[in-house]
Amino acid sequence: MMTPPMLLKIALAYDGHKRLNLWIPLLILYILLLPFILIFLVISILACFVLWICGFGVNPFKFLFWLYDLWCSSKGLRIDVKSKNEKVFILVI
Amino acid sequence: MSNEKKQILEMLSQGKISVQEAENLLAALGEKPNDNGGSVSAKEAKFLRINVETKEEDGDRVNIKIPIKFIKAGLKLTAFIPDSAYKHVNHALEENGIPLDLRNMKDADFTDLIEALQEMEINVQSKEGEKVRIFCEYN
Repeated sequence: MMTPPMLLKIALAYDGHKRLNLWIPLLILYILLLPFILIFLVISILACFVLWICGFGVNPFKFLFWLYDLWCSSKGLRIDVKSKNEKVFILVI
Repeated sequence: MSNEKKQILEMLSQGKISVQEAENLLAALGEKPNDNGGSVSAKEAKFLRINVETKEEDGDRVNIKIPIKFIKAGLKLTAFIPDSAYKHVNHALEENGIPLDLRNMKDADFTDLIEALQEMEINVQSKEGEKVRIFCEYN
């Protein structure tokens, strides 16, 4: 079963000394966003139904599933870019 | 089952190749030679790595690790590119010497593309000591 990422780390450094270090527990974020996700899902299903009646070529349900698949498969993504004064670090776990 | 294996089995069932030849071909598919001339069992790469390093310790550095699954999922989303955008993408590709119509790309083509990507390794080193390395990681 595909499970979405649970932790996101974002670290930014700019102008040499200004730093931002964030560990974002996505599980808590998912729980907080659950009501909005449910509302979004209901609206999406209605939109999918309307698009299906209108003969929209692409299955919007598939689109939602693939979007979720993309998010789930981002686990392990690491971006680490560093120059003399700037640093960008993103880690998805 | 991969396309290659299917083709070998079909050729065997049609009598185009002998059992021994089919066995050799299947063995060749299962084992891929490594850099040292030996062979390692074929396994799927998990990450695409992009490393850029300069000679200086505090110089620019890029270290990117992209899950192969993420690339596969991203490629699936190309099915949702509208026709008008396809025209621009195809035109840009052609301008850069890649005459490819993305609309003709199928899932199997993307799978082949990813498989080919796993065997790719790019190593570039400049006189100034800058290094660029693009490769696949298996763990």
